[in-house]
Formats: sequence, structure tokens, C-alpha cells
Amino acid sequence: MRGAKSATWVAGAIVVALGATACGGGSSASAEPGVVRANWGDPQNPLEPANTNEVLGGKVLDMIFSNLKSYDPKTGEAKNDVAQSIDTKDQQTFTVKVKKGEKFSNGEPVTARSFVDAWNYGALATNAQKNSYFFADIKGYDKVAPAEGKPTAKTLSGLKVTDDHTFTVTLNEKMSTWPLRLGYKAFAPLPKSFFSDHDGYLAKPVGNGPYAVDSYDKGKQMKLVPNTHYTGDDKPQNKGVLLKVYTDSNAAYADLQSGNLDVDDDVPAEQIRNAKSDLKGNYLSQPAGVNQVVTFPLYKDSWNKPGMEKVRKGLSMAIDRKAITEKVYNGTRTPATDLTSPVLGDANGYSKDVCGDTCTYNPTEAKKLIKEGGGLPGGKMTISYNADKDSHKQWVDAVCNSINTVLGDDKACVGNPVGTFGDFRNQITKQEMTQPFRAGWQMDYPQIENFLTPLYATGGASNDAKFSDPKFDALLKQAGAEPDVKKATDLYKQAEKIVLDKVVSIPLWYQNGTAGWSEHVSGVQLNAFSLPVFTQIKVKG
Amino acid sequence: MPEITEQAPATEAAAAPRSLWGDAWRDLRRNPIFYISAVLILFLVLISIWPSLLTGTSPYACDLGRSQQGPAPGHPFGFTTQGCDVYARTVYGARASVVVGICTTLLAALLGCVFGGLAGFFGGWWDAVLSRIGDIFFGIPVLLGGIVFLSVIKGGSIFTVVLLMSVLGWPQIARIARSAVISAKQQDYVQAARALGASTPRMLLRHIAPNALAPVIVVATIALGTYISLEATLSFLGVGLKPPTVSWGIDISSAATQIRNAPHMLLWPAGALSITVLAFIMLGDAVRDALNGVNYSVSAGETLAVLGESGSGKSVTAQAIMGILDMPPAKIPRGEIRFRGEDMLTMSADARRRLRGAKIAMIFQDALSSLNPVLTVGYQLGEMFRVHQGLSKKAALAKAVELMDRVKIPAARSRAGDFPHQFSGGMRQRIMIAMALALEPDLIIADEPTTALDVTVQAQVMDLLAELQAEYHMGLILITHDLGVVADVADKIAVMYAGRIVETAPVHELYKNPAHPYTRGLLDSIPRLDQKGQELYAIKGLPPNLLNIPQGCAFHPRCPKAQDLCRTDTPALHTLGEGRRSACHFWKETVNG
Amino acid sequence: MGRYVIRRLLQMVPVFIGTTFLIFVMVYALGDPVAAMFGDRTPDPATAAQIRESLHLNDPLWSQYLQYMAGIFRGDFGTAFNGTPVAELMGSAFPNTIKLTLVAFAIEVVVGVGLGIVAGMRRGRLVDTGVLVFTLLVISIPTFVTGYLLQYFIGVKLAWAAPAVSNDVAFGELLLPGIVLAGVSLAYVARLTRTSIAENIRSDYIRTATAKGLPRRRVVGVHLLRNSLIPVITFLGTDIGALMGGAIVTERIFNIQGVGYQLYQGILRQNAPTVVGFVTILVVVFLAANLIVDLLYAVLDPRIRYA
Repeated sequence: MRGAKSATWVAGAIVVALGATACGGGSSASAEPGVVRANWGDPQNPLEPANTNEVLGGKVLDMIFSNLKSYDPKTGEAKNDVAQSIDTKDQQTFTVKVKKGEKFSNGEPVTARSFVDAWNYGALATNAQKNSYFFADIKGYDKVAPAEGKPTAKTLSGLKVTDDHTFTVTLNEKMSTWPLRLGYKAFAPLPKSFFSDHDGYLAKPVGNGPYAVDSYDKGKQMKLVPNTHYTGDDKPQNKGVLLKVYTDSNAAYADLQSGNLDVDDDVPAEQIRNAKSDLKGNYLSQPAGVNQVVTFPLYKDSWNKPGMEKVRKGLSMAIDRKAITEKVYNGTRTPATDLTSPVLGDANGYSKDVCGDTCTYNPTEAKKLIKEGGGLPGGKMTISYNADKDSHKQWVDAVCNSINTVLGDDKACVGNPVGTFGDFRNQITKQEMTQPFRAGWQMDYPQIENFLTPLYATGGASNDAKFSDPKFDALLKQAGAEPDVKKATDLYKQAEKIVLDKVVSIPLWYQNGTAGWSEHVSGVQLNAFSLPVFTQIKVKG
Repeated sequence: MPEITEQAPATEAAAAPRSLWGDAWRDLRRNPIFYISAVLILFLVLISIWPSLLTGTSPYACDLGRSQQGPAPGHPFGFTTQGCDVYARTVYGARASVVVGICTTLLAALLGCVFGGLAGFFGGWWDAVLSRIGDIFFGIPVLLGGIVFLSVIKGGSIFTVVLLMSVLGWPQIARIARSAVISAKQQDYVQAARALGASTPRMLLRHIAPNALAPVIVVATIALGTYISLEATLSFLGVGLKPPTVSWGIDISSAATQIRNAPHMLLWPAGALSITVLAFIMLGDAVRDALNGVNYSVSAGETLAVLGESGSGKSVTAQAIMGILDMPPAKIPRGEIRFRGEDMLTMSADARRRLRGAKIAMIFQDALSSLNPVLTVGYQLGEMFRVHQGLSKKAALAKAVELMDRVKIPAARSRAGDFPHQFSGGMRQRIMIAMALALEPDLIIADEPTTALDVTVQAQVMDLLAELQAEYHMGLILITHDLGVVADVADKIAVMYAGRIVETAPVHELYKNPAHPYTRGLLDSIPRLDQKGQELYAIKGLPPNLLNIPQGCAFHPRCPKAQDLCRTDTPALHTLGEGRRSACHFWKETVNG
Repeated sequence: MGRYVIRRLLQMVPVFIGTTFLIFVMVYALGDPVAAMFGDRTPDPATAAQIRESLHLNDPLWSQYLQYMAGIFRGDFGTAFNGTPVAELMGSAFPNTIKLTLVAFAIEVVVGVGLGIVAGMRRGRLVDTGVLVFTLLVISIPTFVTGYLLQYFIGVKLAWAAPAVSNDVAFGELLLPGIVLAGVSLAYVARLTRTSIAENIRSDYIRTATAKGLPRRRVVGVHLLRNSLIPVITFLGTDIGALMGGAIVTERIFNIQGVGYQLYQGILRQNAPTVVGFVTILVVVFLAANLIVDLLYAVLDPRIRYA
């Protein structure tokens, strides 16, 4: 076996060497017919739905799991998928009916228990699932995951199975928009084998989505084939997907150009300008549910004393968002006009004008406001960022240059790189930041509530600024209890206005998702989470 | 016997071997490369201190509207992605880059030389401990070291970056220094110094350091460039210099990803980095050459019984006969060298090569340096048979042992596997002689064969040489400055001055009646047992610099009988009689007077 | 000699312990790794506490180190954060990196020594200047620039070689990354060789060899090279380790899941088992390489004796 393998690569070396001199690399690694080869990276966590909080693992889970709800790739609207219906009378207790006849890829039927067991597993602290906080609104969470000490219960008291295909969910508080989040992967159902043979599951995950895992070579590639037991609407238009692990987005992009890769949803920023011509038009860029802001440490008096709101507003107005998004990002960012994202659409809370003049570049007014507010604390400021990924340096330098130009001081604002993301986050959570810092939000589900509650509610999980405003908190509560989703959304928008008026953070821009594809495939589009809609991709020839 | 009709102009005057740092400095000052690099480095240091001398533009004045634009009036190098002036940033970037580069190199080299030197010199526990500490440091990934070091001490200043990179960089230099010291320690002059009781610091500084420094300098000059790049990588990863510091490294890394969009952003900082590295490589080369000039030069000397003062071109002529002058820089513009009626200069290189060793062989003065230190003597002797006669390795070795027996080396069979440094001086010279004799050549050129030996051994070796010559009927050109030796061994004498033969004569006639004032001077300067009490004569003045030979007769500045004709006309080599020639306008007067 | 080797092998034990401890302390000094696992979100306290407990992060440093070392002696190198055992990561990463190192090392030796010989023998001539300019270029242009440029022009535009290495990691695919990785070291080797050759070519024993009527090939090949390569070999020995651990950039650009890449991931995610495991193996490689160099050194230069 070992010998055979090395013989293969020696032979392979000769073939490649010959190919390299004779006819060029070309499509030497050509795929099986009908299979889409796509860019992937090594997931950071085991492929458990409640433990995957980044896009690489998310990409696979998105393909192998169908949730109660799914989001329309175009409008972001949440529609029932595996759910037959989700009803509530009081916005606090929801009755979920699961469609009959749905099956996991191993043939096991999807039942109400598949969901309830999965959610209980995800919530229980001893399982150390990174998405556990998604279940925090469900009654009994404080028993399975107490902030201190050991759990006193193994299951959430708010979850009850009423029959094979029906279960009820009771929340801690009223929240009309709660079902909208059920398209998120943390809420996926799990097969029995997940609990009985956990290692087997991790080696080859089993789900109920349009695709099933055919083989998984950790750190190298994953082969997915259409799930023969899948009965949903989203049947794959191709014979499978080969996810290839790349160490770097440039390597994947080079392979895409050479025809060794079909779909690349991570076109490197510096290649954007050439992507259209490199790929002969097989390229798209559209807003994603990700925004970028600069957050102020409001727990520091220097940035929160009276008058500073003027300085904060002035700083926001001193940033030439249009120039930066065009020059630094080649148009793959869109200047922000609110705290959410355009992928939400008006229906889910996006607004084109709520930020108003705060988000509009106005050098003279900016300078005036900063002066009126008493100037920068100590005459200087820094913007901290983690330097280990995503090239934040480029935009931080540009933002600082913009501010410096307005203030007429070369060194008023400078970037402050922090070596690792971990160190950066530790400084934030320990409230050691004395100066503004970058923050970004990648939505979990396309709803304005997801952009407000975690970030700005008192005690919110990601309230890095430590912002606290009773009026804001009250509006959130009121919106949660409002049965009409449209009215609730309007209430959220009012709450958003409060945050914007106080300039807790400076909205910068919305990030775009990008995708390039080869001539072998067609029908490539990105969903609201900027993931390729693999089921819709057709392979030519 | 070869007949030399026109001599090759000599090429290089030899420097006497002195081993003082002062000599290195004197050498350095004569090297134009040193001046070029020094000027460049001075310039870099200047703009590091006063960047505003070269530009009035601020490196921080950036305008996104001009992002990545090409050159414009007042902005000769174009703009960066942020719309800053590339020229201003390149000028201002010099400070951080040059300081980081120089300081890190110096500090790392200092640490490396001290630790590596100690490990190499003392060996044993010193070596074990210091080298293993180096290994551990070598194992730390730069990225990890950088992140930990700089996030723990909250660095970001030039000082902390220099400190970090030196701490991570010294093991490499230490490794090189250790090897170089181990190697230098084995050299005989170091051993000699040690035997003479030189103190340890003195040995390290005066004898070992100059030799061990060469590889260290090479590595350090290149390392300087990589340190500047490393600073870029560290800064790029957020653990190097913090904004708003400008450095080439930072600009190179941000330009690198834009290489397809705006190559000019990369060109200038990378170009500046290249020039800096070039300046230091040149400086390193110059320093190293200066150190070499002092320690490796062997006094040139010497050529038939060819007689002459040091530096008169004897050796060079002999080597020209052999065809082993370094062809650049040496040139033989005219003349011919006849060997058995054929002009060797017009022969093909390969034909000449076949003559060497087989028909004409040479014995060199210093057998220790002339034998390859890393090959066994058996191998080196056997090589003659393998190359010229195509013998097998085994047969060649047998021949070698036979030869060693022939030159009376005891226990030849067992000693054939020894290396040159394991023999005594006399034995080594015997090996040299054996090597020359190997193929029973028609002619042996012996270049001061006994000078390096002590007097009793000298006689033994000369006797052996004379005995073998008679036995094999070989021609022998004996190059020497020792007239006593000549009188015993030679039949004919050629006297050389300033690269030319000035007189040839059968040995007795020459002694009896020299036909050139120079020969007369030489003879008069020998202490003679039969003329006690007389003041010893010395030729006044010094031998001429061969790069600047006086016009007319080369000897005229030192000649007691020089006349106007001697200052203007070069004398021809007049034939006086059978086997007698003289290159003096006034040979008749000289012979008679 | 035998005793010397045994002594050197024994020295590896304290070095092994020293390295693991040093690296352990360094990763520990990076701070709490848990925050980084949750993205831009403050970790749920219960979950974070659970993760800290399972990683023994609440124990004192010495206790964590002892637990780690105890694991190693049981053959357990710990697990990476994505649940993969570190031993498994090493098993897949080291073969790739060793292959890449072999290719780069071969290029470095052949091209570097070759250029150095040519430049050293034609000192001061055009070739020498050419080699100098080439080394300057290699040193001044960062690896990632050469990497991207070669990948783009040779791999994508001209399609002479695959721009990214496939999962098979075939030797042919490693040519391009090998060139990039060898780049800077090659410059060192060329300069060192040049200096050494230029120095030795003027030596007396080379004059003797020529006077013996040996063909030029033999003079250079047997007499000159052997003496000149001694300092170069020292460098090459230390460089093997550097090539293996320092391929972070090259491995990323050319999509090689090797040691450099795994180390980079481990460092950024502050995963002590990954980092300590990989670095320890690397240090053992250095030690072995250095030992071999020292032995080779004594073989090449008989004047050197180790007691």
C-alpha cells in the first residue's frame, strides 16, 4: 500500500515533469466529469454544526445539512425548508412541525428528535460547542450552561418533543423574529450516529442536505456527491463537488486561471482589478452580510466624556469612504450607510440613509466638530487591528491618512498592529483597549436584530464598546415582543438610530463577496453568506 | 634545456608577510572598491540622519486620489496605494532600514563571533554548551519568536526589533565562526604561535580572527540584506516596526501584492535595498581581501641556477616556463619558451599540460602549503601516474610508495596514507622532490627548494637532489638567492634583475669574472671566509618595483658605473663567448675591471 | 570519533528538554488562546471555561508542561484545535516538507556552488559581476514577490509548470517552489563558494597541482573544490533546518501543506501542542544536520580532530 503510493508519486513526478516541458500544466489535474472543483480551506474546528463558527467549516455544513428554514440566495428571505410550519401565539412558545419523509444521507429519517437532541447537545456546556450561545434564548439554558460551576441539567427545559415530527420551543422572553434564525447551521438536525459513533461522524459527517460526504481526506480535500436520500427542492444540478484545500487565496486563484479549479469564492483583493480580464468575465462581486466598523472603547473616560460624541462624529465625517473603497479595495467594499448590510434588503432592516451626514465625508465640518468636542484625547489616536490576517493594515492606514489630512497633522492618527488575533481579542474582552479598534460583524442570519442585540445591547456577547443605553435596550425588548415582523423591524431601526447618533462605532463599509469560475462551469451565484450556491452550478461537457 | 629569449614582464610585487591589523588597514586604503563602498555607505548614513536633504516632500503627505499613479512632476518615482510619494518614502525609509540592517548585523555578528569563536577555540564543554544553545535558538521559528518577544515586551521600536533579530540571527553566524575558528586553529602559523606561548586573547585576535573572519564577513554582508527584508516580514505581520515608522521593508511588503498593478511601488524601495546590500558586500570583500593580503601572501622569489635578489622575477619566469602563471592577471605579450626545439607558448594548452609533470617538473619552496592539506601524500604522488600514465588507483599507490622509498622516507608503505601536516619539514620536501621525479622528467625546476629548511636538513635535501639528478640525467634549473648552494650544484648560472636575465655564464667563469655590475655586486655581498676583516659590501638601493621598472638599463639607479647611455637605452643581451652573455652596455669594461 | 558521536547524541537529550520547555513557555506567553476561537465574538463563559479545562489551561505552567511531556513519552503529541492529532499532522506535513527541502537543497547546491565556482575562478570578470547582481536581486526581492511572480508567469501565463502543488505533491510540481525556497540560501552559497574558491585558487597546492600537469578538470574537481567547500558545507548544514522550518511563505504560495504552513497555523491559533511538537522535531533535525556536518568536516579536512 505504502509502496504503491510512493510509486504513484514517482510516476506522477515524471508525468508532470514531462507535461510541464511538453504541453504545459494545463488541466493535468482534470476532474471527474460533472464534478465541480471548488476552493476550500482547512476548517478550524471539527465539523459539528454547533461547533463551526467560521466560513470554511460553514461551507461544508451548508451543503450537507438542510435546516428548518433556508434563506433565498437573491433576497435573503427566510423560507421554510425542513419545517412544515413554525407557529406561535405569544411570540414566546413556538410549535415546529418537521416535514415527513426527510432522510439523512445514511437513510435514517429526520424527526423532531433529530433537532431536539442536536440542540441539547449544542447547548450543554460540557460539550464545549462554540455556537452554544445560539441556544441561550431557549428556556433552561442557564441550567445546561451556567456562567459558573457545573451544569445542573443535561437538556434544555424549553424543548419538548410532542410527536415524531413536532416539537415546541419555549424562550426566556418574547421574540417574534426568533424563527428567522433557524436557517443558521447551529440549528441543524443530527443523526443518531453522531451520538453513538462520534469519531465515525467526524471522519465522515452525515447530514440531511442536498450533498453527502463521499470521502474526506483531512487537510487535503473533501469529495461530496448528491445525497440520494434528499427529497428537498434544492437538488444538485451537478454530479458532485470536490472541495480542495488551499493554503492561500493566491494559490487557488492561480489554479483557477490554469483550469485546475472551477469555483473560487475567495479572489484575493489585489487581483480584483485584473479578475474580470483574467477570467474572461467569469467573475462576480456582490455585497455580503459583513460590515467593517471602528469601535470606540466607551469604557475609557477619555473617549466617553461629554463632548466626545462630537469628536467621534467628526472622526466619522473625516473618513473619505468612497475614495478608500474604490482605491484600496477596487470597489469590492461599499461605503456604509447603516449598521447592517444590504443583503438584508429593506424588509429585514437595511437602510440607505439612517446614518445620514455622520457617514458622509465632510472635511470642514469634521474638523470643526473635532475642535468643538475638545480635539483628540492627548492630540493623538491609534486604530488597533490584528495584523495576522485579512490585510487590515491597508484600510487602517488609509482611514488614518484621511483623518490626518482633515486635521492637518501627519501623525495625529496611526495604525497599531497587534500580532495575533487572539491577543487582539483578549485586549478587547479584558477592556484593555484605550484607543479605537477595528471590529467587524459577519451576520449569522439576515435580520437587523443580529446586527444590534449582540453588539450594542447592555451585556451583549459582542458589545466590545461596553455601550449601554436604557432606551436602546427597551426598544429591543419592545421589538422582540411585537408579533408583526415588519413592525418589529421598524422598532429595531429606531434602536439603530440611537446607536448611530451616539457614534458608538464608525460604520465604514460593507464587504463584498467575490467569486470567479472556470469555463467548465456555469450558473455560479453567491448566497447571502457569500457562499457559492453549489446545487445550482452546472458543469459543461 | 629551455632557452628564454624574452622574459615575461612580471606581474605582482610581493608583499612581505606581516600580520598586523595595521597592514590590513594600509591594504584597505589602497583598494578603490573600499572607497566606492565607503562613499555609498556614508551617503546612506547621511540620508538616514537628514532625509530632508534629499526631499522636501513628507512621506506622510498622502492623497488617495493619486493612488498607485506613476511618476508626476515633483514626484519622480510615482505614488503608493495610499497615494504617498514613493521617492520621499524611499528616502525616509533609509533610516529605519539602514539602522536595523547595520545594528542587527553588528550585534548578531558580535554575538556570533564571540560565542562561535569561544566554542571553536576551546572546544569541549564550551563547544557543547554554546553550540547546543545556538541550536535551540536556531530552532525557534522567527515568526513565533517575533510575536512572543514583541507582544510580551510590547515592542515596536527600532531597538526592540534589532534586539529580536540579533537574538534570532546570531546562531547562524556563530556556526560559521565556530567552523572557521576550528579550521584556522589548525593552521601551522597558529600552532607555531601557540607553541611560542602567545596568550589566548592575542592568538584569537592576531592569528585566528583575521583568518576566521572571511566566511563570517561573507555571511554577514548577505545577512544584512536579509535582516532588512526580515524587518519587512515582521512589520508586515504586525510584530515589527510600528507605524508611522517608514521603512523599505514595510513598503516592499505592501508593494509586493500590487506587483501586477503598480510595479513602480516595488522597484524603488527594492532598488534602494539592493544598493545598500551591494555597498556592504563590496565593503566586506574589500576588508576580507585586505586581511588576506596580510596573511596568505608568500614572498615571491626566484629562478637555471637562476640567481637574483628577492623580487627580481626568478620565480615568475620559472612559472612562466611551467605555464602555471595565473593567466589573468598575468600576460606574456611577447617572447618564446623553447623546450626541445618547440615553442611552448604556441603549443596547445593541452599539449603544454602534458609536458608539465611528465617532462618538466617543479619543486616548490614551501612544501607544506604546496601540498594539498586534505589529500594523503600517497594520493597526491599517485595522481601523477594516474593522470599521465593512466594507471589504476592501486597501481599508482604502489608506485607512490616506491617513490617515497626512493627519496628515503622511512616506513613509506604505512606513511603513504598520511596527510602532509603529519610529516616533518624535511620529509615533506622529500615528498615534493619525489613528486617531481615521479615521471623521470627531462627537466626539473627547483624553486628555492631548501630555503624553508634548517641548515643540516638543507644539505641532506640538496645532496639527495644532486644524486637523483645524476642518476636520472635530468636538467635542473635551480632558483635561488643562495650563491653558496649554486656553486656546489650548478653548472651554469643565469642572473636575473627586474624580470630580465642580465648575465649567463658557466659557474666558474661567473664567479671568477662577472660581466655585469649587478653580478659583481651580488658576489661582493657574500661573506667570504678568505677575506676576513673586510667590510661586507651591499648593493645600494632597493630592487625596483616590477610595476615601475626604470627606463633604460633597469639597474642604472643602483649601478656604480652608470652613464647617460644607461639611463636612455635598454642594453641588449650581448654574447661574450661560448655560453657567456651579458646585458650591460659596458660589459667589456666590467669583465676587465 | 565513536565517543564523540555518542557524546553528541547524548547532548540531544538536554537540548530536547530545553527546546520543548522554551517553546512551551513562548506559546504560553502569547496568552489565552480561547478568545481567538470565537471570532469577533466574546466567548460564552461556560463554553470558554469548558475549553480551558479540557486544554488544562487553568493549571500552572509547569504542570501543563509535565502533562505534555508525559503525553509525548506515551507517543501522544496532543491534538490541534480542529481535533486532528498533532502526530497525524506531522505525519502528513513532514513528508511534503522533506520533499520540498530536498528539491530546494539540490537546487541550492547545484546552482549555488556552480555559480560560486564560476564567479570565483573568473574573479573580477563579467561572469563574477553577473553572479553578484543575481545574488543582489535574490536578496533584495522578498520571497513572496519572487514566489508570486514565478507562479504567475511560469505557472499561469506560460503554463510551463503547475502554479499550485496538488495533493500528490509530486517532485515535478515542487520545482517552482523549490527554486523560490532555495533563492536566498542560494545567494549565500554562491557568495561563500566564490570567496572560498577565489582564496584557494591562489594557493600553493593548486599551483603544485597545475605543475603536476593535471587536467584543469581534475585540478578544480579534486584539489580546489574539496578545500573550498569546507566553509560552504557548514552553511549548508545549518540551512537544511532553516529550509524545513522557514518554508512558511513558500508553502503558502504554492499550496503545500507542510511544516511551515502547519507551524504558521499553530502559532496564529496559539496551539501549544502543534507548535511545540513541530519545533521540537525541527530542532532534532538541526542537531542531526549539525552533527553530520561536523563529522563531514573532519572527513574533509584531516587536520581537524575531535577529541
